[in-house]
Amino acid sequence: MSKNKYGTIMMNGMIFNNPTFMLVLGTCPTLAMTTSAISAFGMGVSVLIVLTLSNIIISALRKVIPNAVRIPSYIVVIATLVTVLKLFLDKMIPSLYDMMGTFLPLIVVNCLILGRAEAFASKNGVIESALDGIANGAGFTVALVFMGIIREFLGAGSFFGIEILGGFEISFFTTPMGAFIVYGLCIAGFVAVMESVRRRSRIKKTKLLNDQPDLLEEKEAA
Amino acid sequence: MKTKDFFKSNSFKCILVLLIITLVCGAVIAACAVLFRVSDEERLNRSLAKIYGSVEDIPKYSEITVRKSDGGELEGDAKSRSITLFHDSQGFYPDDPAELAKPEQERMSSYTAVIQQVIMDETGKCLVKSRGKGCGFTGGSVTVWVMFAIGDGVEKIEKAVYVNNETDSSQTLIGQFGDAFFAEYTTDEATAVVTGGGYFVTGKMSVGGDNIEVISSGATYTSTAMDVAVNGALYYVREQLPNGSLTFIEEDGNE
Repeated sequence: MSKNKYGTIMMNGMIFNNPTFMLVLGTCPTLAMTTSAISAFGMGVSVLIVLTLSNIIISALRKVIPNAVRIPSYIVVIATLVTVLKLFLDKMIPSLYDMMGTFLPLIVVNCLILGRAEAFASKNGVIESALDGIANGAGFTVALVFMGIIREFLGAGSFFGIEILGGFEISFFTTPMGAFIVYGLCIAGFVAVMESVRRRSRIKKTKLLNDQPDLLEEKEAA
Repeated sequence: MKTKDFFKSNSFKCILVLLIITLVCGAVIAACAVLFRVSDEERLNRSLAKIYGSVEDIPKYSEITVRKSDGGELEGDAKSRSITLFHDSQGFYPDDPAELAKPEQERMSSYTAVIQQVIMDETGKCLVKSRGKGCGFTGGSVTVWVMFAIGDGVEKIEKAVYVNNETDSSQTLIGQFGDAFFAEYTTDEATAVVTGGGYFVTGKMSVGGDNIEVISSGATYTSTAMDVAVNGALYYVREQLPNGSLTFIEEDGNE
């Protein structure tokens, strides 16, 4: 049962409730940091770390923090984690720190992080919250990298900084307008794929139940 | 409500929990600030690496004392020097004594450039760290390193890079001013301005005849601050050069 629960949390965070393509959260860094795949990956991993740690801490303190001050408390915790991450990156990975620029401190106001703290970490145990943070962070990272690859390939003719198309580039895709268009198309594609998967799953279940009506009774009994 | 009742109330619990969380988080940040502290030397090496290409390519250099306009040394902790740049639609006029003599309400508009550091490398290049103060976006500052080629006077700006690892909170956060923007200061046209005694001006403007006295480099607040920083560095190097203070000094004191 426990494994199923953890599996459900992971699948929900990464795929069924993907924060970028399904819930459309964290749009600001999604549009700004996907001009290249490397910067997208850096932003994604940063958000994953902050999200996981904030979920763990907030879940651990959920019974201590009064309801009236829960939001300010969450913000203090999230801001602290982002500050520590900023100091760490400035010391250890200055190139990533320079690349992220303004958008590193803006992780504090990323609605994905506060949203998961409020919706999940404040109501669930530490392990479940940690998994939720990892799943949502991983889903966010994969979505950003996917967009980054598309925009970098079309906009600069390169893949993770390696020039592939020999100077060919459509600079439109590195502009904000291009970002919105790529984002919209990715959302449309993702939703279409999910709908298709769900439809097939429903058809499969219906067919199974029609062929084996005893199975329905067993399920209902369980 | 009695004092005892207050200490048992939910309000007190809220205040206490919030205070404890804030104090613990503050302590964590303070500890991490010490643990992950980046020294001034490391920051300087990072900026120089952007100019020279890599840390390994940084040549020997010596630091030049930033001096006052009369050649005297700055006293106490005042290691940086402010330069006032008056401006009108025609251009910049650094440290114009005539304007400075006027009452404040009669003066032209002005910006301030702060010269923070000057170094001379063994190849004869002069690097100036200059800040365009309070004239960037939302009143922020922009700090740049400018590398000058020095021969018979200031010959050209070899390179200008934005310093984005400043710890000063007044530093304007710049998004995407890339290398192409700073390359404007190193073109042949810009070099003609430098050797002709002109300065860089933000925004489009017409110039008289065939003489190019100014270079337009953009029309935003941030590019204005960059122009102020570069102009301040240019003015400082032009002013100090005749004093003969721009020489590379080995560690053993020999030139």
